[in-house]
Amino acid sequence: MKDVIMVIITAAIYAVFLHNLVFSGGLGASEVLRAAQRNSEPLMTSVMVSLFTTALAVICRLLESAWLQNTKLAYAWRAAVYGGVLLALYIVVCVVIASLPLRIKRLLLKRIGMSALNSVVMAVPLLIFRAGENLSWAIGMGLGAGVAFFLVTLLINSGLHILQQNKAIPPVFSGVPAALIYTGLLALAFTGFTAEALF
Amino acid sequence: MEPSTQKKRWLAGAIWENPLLVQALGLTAVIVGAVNLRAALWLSLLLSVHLMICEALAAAAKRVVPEWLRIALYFLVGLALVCPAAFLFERSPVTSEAALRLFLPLAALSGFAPARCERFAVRHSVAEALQDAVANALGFSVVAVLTGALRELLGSGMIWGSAVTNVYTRGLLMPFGGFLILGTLAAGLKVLLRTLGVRQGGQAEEPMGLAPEDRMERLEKVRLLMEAPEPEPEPEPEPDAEPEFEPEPEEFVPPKPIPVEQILSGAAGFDDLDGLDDFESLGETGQALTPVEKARLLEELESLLDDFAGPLE
Repeated sequence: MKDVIMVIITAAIYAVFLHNLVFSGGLGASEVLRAAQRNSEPLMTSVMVSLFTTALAVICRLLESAWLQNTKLAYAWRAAVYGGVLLALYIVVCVVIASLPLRIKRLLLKRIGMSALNSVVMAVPLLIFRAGENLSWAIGMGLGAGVAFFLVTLLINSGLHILQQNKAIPPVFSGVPAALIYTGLLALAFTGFTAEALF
Repeated sequence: MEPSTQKKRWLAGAIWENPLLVQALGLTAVIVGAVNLRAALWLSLLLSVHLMICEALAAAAKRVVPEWLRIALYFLVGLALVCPAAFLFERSPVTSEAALRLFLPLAALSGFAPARCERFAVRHSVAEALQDAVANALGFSVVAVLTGALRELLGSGMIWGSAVTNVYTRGLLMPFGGFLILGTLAAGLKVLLRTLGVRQGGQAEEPMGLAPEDRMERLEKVRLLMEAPEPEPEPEPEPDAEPEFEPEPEEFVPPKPIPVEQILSGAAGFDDLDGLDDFESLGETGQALTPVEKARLLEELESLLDDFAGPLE
């Protein structure tokens, strides 16, 4: 049990710092920027990303063990199967939310599309398949993906506030250009964790 | 549709509201996938076809299908397009295409098509949606191809797989290189538009509609007025007080009724909206809004305000 928990924690740290899916992988960039613009929702979006990523990673890992690893399915068709599982998971969750008497039902249904159907969520099971990792690693990566998304959103959100207040930025760089360059510099910092050569 | 409106829609989709450099849509595909010219061309082609099919479907289905189900349909179309392409690339002898097949299945989840469909296609006809799709696809493709070419040249010293120079920085092939190049191109687009004297997002006085920031301000005013409490009744005058001099009342001219759809589409100009402080004649029949109309208007406003959080200005 202790080993399982250590693997989960290690996988989460890997997903947050050593191979941050947004900064080092470039995944979910548009979704992160949109979530960073909305001051009140980074936590809700990140929790949904984490839940969907973990659920998808676990289901796909179990599917691999039970069926897919015995087939000679090409990578593209395997990705199509994973996409089908994600789609089914998303529809089930939406139907459940729509049927519940919740006050924030409308808000959840509006935000769940961006949180569930984004490249960060689907990248994790594909990475786990390519690395041949086990179920504990799948759980850790799923949880780490949500934490990574939250961390990145917070960093960009605070950066956008500072950039908007800074009058020294030339007008042609204000707004989208400054946001992209700022995100790129943060990504450069996180690339240092990967120990890849830049030159 | 007037030819001038059509031309402005083309220019808006391709340049003024460029999906990558202004709306920040489809960034993942370019940052991760467009690491060379060939890959950028393939990505542009696939995502453009995806966008056109999705916008046509969204315009045809309009509000019949709920939003959460429409988004699932966009993803399904994306999977149906990119997974066969990824399978073909897997067998391709060209190295850059073989590398692309690892990322391609994730391109099905690009937010480019869903965002354009929800912001535009569901509120317009199929023909207008297709025009918007082609314009945005063109704008996306130009930027993606330019980014791919720059990254291949600066990151590996090659163009189209042929060596051009020995001086390069491998780091630019990584995601941070994509962010930096896109940020620089976005600044370059702003310089170009300022030189041409065009305000980013379109011009307010054009018949196509208000500029996004002006529309936000008008929509906020509409929402505040819709939610304003009932005014308190005036107190009755004292019976022994001398009657106050009352000037002759001016002839009341009710403001011209404006259909709700015209206001929501942004086609109503400043002059039309300025006089409607009480909105009593806002309904399509010229009568005061019914509770059902008010609820629908508030829902549309919330959706539009949410959509206009797109550009990072």
